[in-house]
Amino acid sequence: MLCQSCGKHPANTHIKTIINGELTEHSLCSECAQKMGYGNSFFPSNTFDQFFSSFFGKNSLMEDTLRCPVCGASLSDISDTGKVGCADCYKTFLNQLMPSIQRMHGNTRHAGKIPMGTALQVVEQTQEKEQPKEKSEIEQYQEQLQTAIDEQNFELAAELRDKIKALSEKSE
Amino acid sequence: MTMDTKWFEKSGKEGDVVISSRIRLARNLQKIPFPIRMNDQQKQQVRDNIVQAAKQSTNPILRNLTYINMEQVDKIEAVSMVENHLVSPDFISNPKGRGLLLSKDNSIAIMINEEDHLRIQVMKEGMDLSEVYQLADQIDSVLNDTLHFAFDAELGYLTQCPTNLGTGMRASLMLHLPSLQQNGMIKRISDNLSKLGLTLRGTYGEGTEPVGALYQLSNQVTLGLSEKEAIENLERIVMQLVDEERNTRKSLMENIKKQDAVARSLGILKNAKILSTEEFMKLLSNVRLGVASGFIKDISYETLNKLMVQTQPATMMTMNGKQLSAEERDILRASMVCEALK
Repeated sequence: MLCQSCGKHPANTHIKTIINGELTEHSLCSECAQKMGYGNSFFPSNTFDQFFSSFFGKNSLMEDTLRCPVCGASLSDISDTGKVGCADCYKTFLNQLMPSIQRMHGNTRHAGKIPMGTALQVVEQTQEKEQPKEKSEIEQYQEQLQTAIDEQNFELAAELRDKIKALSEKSE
Repeated sequence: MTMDTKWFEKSGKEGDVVISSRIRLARNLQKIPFPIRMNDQQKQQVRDNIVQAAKQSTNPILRNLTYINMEQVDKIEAVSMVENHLVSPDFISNPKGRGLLLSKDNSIAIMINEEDHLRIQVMKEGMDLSEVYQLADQIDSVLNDTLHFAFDAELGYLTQCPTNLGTGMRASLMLHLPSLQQNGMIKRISDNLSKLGLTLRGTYGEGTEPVGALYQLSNQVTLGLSEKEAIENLERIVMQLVDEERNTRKSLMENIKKQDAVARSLGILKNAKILSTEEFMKLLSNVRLGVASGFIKDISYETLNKLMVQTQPATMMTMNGKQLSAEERDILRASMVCEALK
């Protein structure tokens, strides 16, 4: 699809606007999007998408093999959309994302508000220590379960899973 | 003024140039995919959790927010919400799993499952970013007590788009810049602003000559700057822009042709029987300039701000409770304008 503004270049930026009471979508090329103030102001000659894909070379081995354990996103999912899959993606792909984040903001270290949540985590950890026996028993079984799964010993895995279930029900 | 007067119907500090201030905070819950990778069930779950956190809060501001399930809002009303600057066009394009928490005066609008799980928005007439931020900050802190937002010591608040990392804060001001626009100075200003990490874009319509000379100025950098620094930076620069617009207005209004254009614009608005949105917005811009330069004395910014929102197409249809053709709208708009400027 060609850019609706210049009609010359392929459209790669889609902007939704309201015109005369109706929701309308504009498809623009990066140049026209830039002119209209929709481009990323840090890269006058580059759109955000191009910027991302240039960083994650298409032949990168990482791209297909590494997936985020929480949301399942791969690097190509992120570079194709310019959107990150979940909070944990930032952990999983930190090294790959960092250069683009730095170029985007000129900084890589947060300097603003810090939520009060940190204190809360400390409290949770203290509570754990109050009942170490049951927790550690579950944890031990969980470790054994992981090993059993890794070794494909599913009989043992099922047994361990039942034990963990029974223990966690007891502790509730 | 009644209790129900909406923020966008009022006028505030530096109201001759600055129409409104807005702060938007992007926040996400932990361990749940961002909206781009969420299924319908997860969207509903997140929406339920957020609404519950607000409704069960001990904070009266949050407890008193009205919850709106976007799936149950009809299309015209949804468009009207965009016209009133409460939600983004993208937000209403797919209502599935989305919700809105709205205050009575519409100054607080929390979008659920837009680009991030939460977009906490606070808006106010005139220039008052610091006060607006204080309220947004308070809402954020209260919600965080129960929702525990995704945060990293180094990257700050974690967001679906890396451009919002850090504070997740976008501060913006809606500006009326008719003189800078007429003198062709917007392009140069906009280029300079982008070097400072700020963006200037048209509010209505595309391109460098947006209808009604209304612009949106906002910060781009969210990582490595505190909220306070970002706001102070924006306020300092906007005051330069306000001064520049005011100075340009003075010389522009000395021109008899411009005085004539302003006077004629008021004449048309007061007497026309049919007014399209575009014509109305252009004329309104001239009248606002006339009020600001003292050429028009008996009309307030409040009247103009109110008209600007109430005569938008979908808002007119929502207020009248029925579908209207473009022509019917243009006739109704003319009569509303005539009545208000009498």
